[in-house]
Amino acid sequence: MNTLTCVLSGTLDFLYYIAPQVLAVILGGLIFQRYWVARTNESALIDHLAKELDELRNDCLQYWNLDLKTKENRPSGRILEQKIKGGIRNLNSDLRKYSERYCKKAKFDPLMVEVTDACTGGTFEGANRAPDPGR
Amino acid sequence: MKTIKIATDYSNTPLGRYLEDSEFNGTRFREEFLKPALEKEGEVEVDIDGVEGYGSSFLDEAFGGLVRKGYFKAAELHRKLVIRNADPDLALYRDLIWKYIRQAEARKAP
Repeated sequence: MNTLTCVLSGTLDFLYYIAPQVLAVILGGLIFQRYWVARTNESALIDHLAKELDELRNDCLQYWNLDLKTKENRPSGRILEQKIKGGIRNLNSDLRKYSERYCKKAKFDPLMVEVTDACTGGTFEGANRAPDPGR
Repeated sequence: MKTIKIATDYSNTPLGRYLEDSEFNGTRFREEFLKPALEKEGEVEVDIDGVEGYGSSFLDEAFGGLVRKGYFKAAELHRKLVIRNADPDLALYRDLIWKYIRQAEARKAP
């Protein structure tokens, strides 16, 4: 009985002395995990944005090199037009979410205005558009 | 103030610049909807909601064309024209419209 009391008291003393350190380690771990998860989420979103931008670039390259004077190219031209407009909308929406969540000060609107103008300006959706690789 | 809701009053798939590009092109929207409304009414509100997306060619022809054709000056449009959007994803197109109006004015100036 006496030995048990001694062991219990020793354990309690030990816990009493190491409790602040244990607590600090647990808290530190939690804070680090939160930071790490936030960073991982941000980097996943950036990867997603880069992928969207890449797809938009490919669609635009394909579209602006397409000769819509040729009848057989018109259906694929119309599909690409819809893909480009949808791609711009998705990219704009995701950039807005990114900005709201991770960098409120950044203004992506002027950038998206330029991107939209470059992708869908000029003779975009023109009935008999000739290829315009320069764009 | 007259309100023109593009998606319901015109089309929810407006596309193209010229009459031959599609049925719901920028030229037709400018000539049949925007210009008469701006001439008749003091102020016109254009609601751009309800459309999946706009091509810059449509917006440039419809809105920038008002200045290029000499119907209105950019300053006049700033007073008379209100572009409205509730969908935050479409705010981009409001900025584009004003950009084309400013650009058309700058290109017209000697």
